[in-house]
Amino acid sequence: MSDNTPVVDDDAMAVARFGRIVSGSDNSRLGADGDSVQEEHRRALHLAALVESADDAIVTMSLDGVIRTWNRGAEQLLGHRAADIIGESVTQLVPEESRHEESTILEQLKNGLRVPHFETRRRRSDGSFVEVSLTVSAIFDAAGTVVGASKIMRDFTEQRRSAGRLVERTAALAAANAVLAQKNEEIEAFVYIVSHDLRAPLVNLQGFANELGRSCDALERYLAAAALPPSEARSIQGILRDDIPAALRFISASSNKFERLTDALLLLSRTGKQELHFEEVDVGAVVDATLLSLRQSIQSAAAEVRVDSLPAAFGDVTGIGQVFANLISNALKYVHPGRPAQIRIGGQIENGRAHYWVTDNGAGFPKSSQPRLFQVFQRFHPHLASGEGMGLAIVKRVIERHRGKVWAESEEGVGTTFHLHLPICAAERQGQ
Amino acid sequence: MSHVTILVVDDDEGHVELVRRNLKRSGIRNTIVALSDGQQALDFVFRRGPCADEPHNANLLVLLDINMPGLDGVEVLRQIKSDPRTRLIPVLMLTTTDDIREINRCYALGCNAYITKPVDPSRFIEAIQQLGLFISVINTPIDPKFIP
Repeated sequence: MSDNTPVVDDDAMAVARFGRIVSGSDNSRLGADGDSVQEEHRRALHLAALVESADDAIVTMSLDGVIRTWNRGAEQLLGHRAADIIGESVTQLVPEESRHEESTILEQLKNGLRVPHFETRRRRSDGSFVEVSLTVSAIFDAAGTVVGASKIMRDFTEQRRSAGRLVERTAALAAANAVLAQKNEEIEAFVYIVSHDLRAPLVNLQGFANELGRSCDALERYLAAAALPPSEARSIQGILRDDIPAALRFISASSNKFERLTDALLLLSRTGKQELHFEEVDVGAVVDATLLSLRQSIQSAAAEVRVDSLPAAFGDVTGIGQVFANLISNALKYVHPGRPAQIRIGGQIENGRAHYWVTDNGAGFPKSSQPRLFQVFQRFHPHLASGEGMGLAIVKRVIERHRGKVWAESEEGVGTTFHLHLPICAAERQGQ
Repeated sequence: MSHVTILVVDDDEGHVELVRRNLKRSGIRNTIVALSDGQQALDFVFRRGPCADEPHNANLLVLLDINMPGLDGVEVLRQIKSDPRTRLIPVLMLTTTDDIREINRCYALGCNAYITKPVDPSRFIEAIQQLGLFISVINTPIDPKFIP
């Protein structure tokens, strides 16, 4: 309800017009625009009914603080019946500690000042208190003199409680957020340390496997020169040529794999830390550049790539490039064996953000693997292409750092669509 | 050339051994001194502490690992490069990370080369061979008046 809510004085002839109550004794004014007195009376009753049926407590009082009207809403909120309270002083409704409020309000109204909406407490008939939000407006007579005040009160207890809960929840969320941010930092640091420090022993594993290989070669040369009985020479040769090199190949292959995994972890940890420079990004140009850099893979996959017009995003050009490079090269890697790849890239502005999609007709993912799609080291079609299973984890990391969203819709054997939400420039949002 | 002493500073014995073997295989016959932490390295370079009386060749080439407990390689590099008596000593950072920020930090401090310890042995050998080449071209002895 606004300050302009019509209010009615207890004088049945009083008519409210946009927050002004015109005294019924001033009939000349009422009739001035040609309305009949009867018509005015009908309108007054209508307005009185409106006030009476309002849920808010609507009370009018004279400038000396005597209550003049009291609607049903006021009865419900404050407990007093209209018949008992009309003619009484308003001070009995006001708790001791806010007595000054009343005199201040009346002073302000008398002086023609506006009383801003405020929250306070009022005493009910049973002595309990109720939190109310209070709107006070002046009542003028025909000459424009302030003759009283109307008050609209609304039970504020629940709102105050919700506000309290909101503050608590906000604080709890902020605390949880801080804990999460710290955990996240710890994980970042952990990943960095792991990926970094794990390389040191790897250098040894690979380096000394290589040293052993060299030693075997040297031993073999000595063996050839030494005059050993043929059967012994054969046995030793078997060890030097087959057994040890086979063992070394396993060590090398495993440590190479180990290296690729730690490199991938390191890459992911850097994706989480690289500085993002937010600006308007021509995503169409980013995609074109990505396709250009992938042209060999596109050609060798005989893929058909179609790019629709793409809206600009607000983000980091390198990060967005990384995202599209990963999604498009995935589409090129995980092609359905039975048909050439068709990739379609599109986008549009939706609800104040940019929505992009990369659709392919490739191998698709089984439903069961979709929850793990964006986790690290997840590989769903290792037979189709090599990789460490980091691409989508990086995509997710980049998109999340843009406060965007990425998800996939996929059907095994049919194809996959990756969807991205990215922020757009503030100007574009307004232009929508 | 032969009077250049190669100082390898690395807390990983295996890495030191691999560097030693690969240098040898690359035909480098220089004296190699291996130390396992940054403090020992500084004592050696500045001839102080336990190294105060140790006579050693004035011409040094330092291979520095970055991640060492205590005084790390970056700090050793900083101290060597900020002292006029030692700043001409070639320092090569030899480390497991290819983190671009760390590389840039080392170059900013004046390191002469930065070699990532590759896991792939052929790459490692290649790096060491380049290092051999590097060693063979540093023929500028340090001005005697700067020798501590």
